[in-house]
Amino acid sequence: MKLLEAVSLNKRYGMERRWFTPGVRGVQAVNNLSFSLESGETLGLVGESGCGKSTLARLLLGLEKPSSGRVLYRSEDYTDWSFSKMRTIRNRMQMVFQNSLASFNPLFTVEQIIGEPLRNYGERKAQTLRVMVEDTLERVGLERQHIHRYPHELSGGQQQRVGIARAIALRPELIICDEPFSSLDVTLRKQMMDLLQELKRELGLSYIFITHDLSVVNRFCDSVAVMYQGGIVERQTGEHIMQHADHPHTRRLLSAVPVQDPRLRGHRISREKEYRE
Amino acid sequence: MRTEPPLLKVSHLCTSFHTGSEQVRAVEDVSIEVNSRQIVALVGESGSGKSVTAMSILGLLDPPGTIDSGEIWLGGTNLRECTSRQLRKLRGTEMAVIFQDPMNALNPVLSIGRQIIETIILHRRVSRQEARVLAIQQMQQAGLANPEQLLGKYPFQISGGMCQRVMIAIALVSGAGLLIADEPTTALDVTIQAQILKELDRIRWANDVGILFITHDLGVVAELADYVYVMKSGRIVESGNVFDMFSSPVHPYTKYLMDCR
Repeated sequence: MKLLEAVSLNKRYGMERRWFTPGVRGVQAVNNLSFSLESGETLGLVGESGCGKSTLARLLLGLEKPSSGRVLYRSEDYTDWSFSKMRTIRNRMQMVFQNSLASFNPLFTVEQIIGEPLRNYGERKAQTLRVMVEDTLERVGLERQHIHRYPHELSGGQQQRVGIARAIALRPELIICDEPFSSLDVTLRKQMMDLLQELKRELGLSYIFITHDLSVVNRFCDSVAVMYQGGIVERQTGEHIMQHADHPHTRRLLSAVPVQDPRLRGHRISREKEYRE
Repeated sequence: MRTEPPLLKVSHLCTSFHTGSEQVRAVEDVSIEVNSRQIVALVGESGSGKSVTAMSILGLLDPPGTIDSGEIWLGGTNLRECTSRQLRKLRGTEMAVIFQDPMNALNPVLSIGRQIIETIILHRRVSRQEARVLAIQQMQQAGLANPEQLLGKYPFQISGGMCQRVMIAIALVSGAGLLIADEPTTALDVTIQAQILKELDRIRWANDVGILFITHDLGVVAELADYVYVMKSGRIVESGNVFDMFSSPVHPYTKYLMDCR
């Protein structure tokens, strides 16, 4: 069953020419893009900065309306739905942001942050809320004592865990992760990957995983879509893409990934030789 | 080549932060050497004291932090005995630093040209016109196309990768021999990262610069470094040639870091 589908999406920015911005040229952020996501699948969206990955995420979540094209959730077209109607499917689709700290209200405690989506979707009783929040915290590997902390009192890894906790609080089917680990160091990144895998198994989630680092996706994603200038240029399975990249842009992205062993580096030796001579 | 003295020699450095009644040791007994034209990587997870080590070397530690003991030699100068005024002078002429977030390290309300030219005038006896020419040269060297046009732009108008190149240009403009790079590519995407790494590798041969490269990414280390120090909770747990370390890591923490990739 197709969980999410996008049909020839387009998004242009800067169309309106106003008094103060007569010379503004439009930017085609997403360009005639179609794809579909199966239930339970993990899709990696890879591309360099400015290729339209985040715009696509916003379109899929209905945070922005496309200039043309349709977005469908379980074969239901929600492109033109009103804000209040969007609420009926919002609890099925959640997002984890790159910079979690910036996405939290700084005056909320962890309990309020995670409880907010639950309250928005009708859970009013304080006791049940508390139980649900504690349960969610436990799932992402945080302890009960963190419940009264403010976001700035947490470490970077813990902040990201709270961000994930907020996303899974409503038990969604799909989570869109927009470069969730780019602010974390390698050891934390590993822990977070394991956490996401575990949550996927426990809660039957699907992920759309936005990143610019191809080395991350091949282990984590079922399939990988490479974006370039607003369109998907290549889509392959996770293991496949490292060996059989077809599009020249994919190969360029792959060659930018740092080597895993110093013996594999190529361009260096010649330069050193040049210097010695 | 080994006969020349090391560019930077840090021995038994201890740095701690005094907070109220407590004293937190951030750096404990750290010894590092950087030679000219060498790229030395300092690797560790966040909070392991990498940046504090760098700030101690630069003399940029903020007040609650103090250097308790140890020696820092930059060429023939003992940095521990320098006054803050002397240090300030050295920071431009002998050592330079590029930071993690280039967007925030540049002044948002001054044009890029103004920031580079200002640096040149501070450190050299040149007129504004000469400084402008030098700035353009330096920007070209740092791999920026169209430097004349860039001079009038502001940091928010250019991309993160370009900002980092501007930072490199500013760092090298006064001919510093030691460049401290504090996670220079963490905020950039992989393609830009690859370009900046190549750039750093090129300038060390072209300008005879020794680079202390602080990072948490072992991939970057494998790509670029000659010598590696692995740091954990303020101590150096392993050091060695990059080839030896990747083929046979000794310390369990190094092995753990390698497994994380």
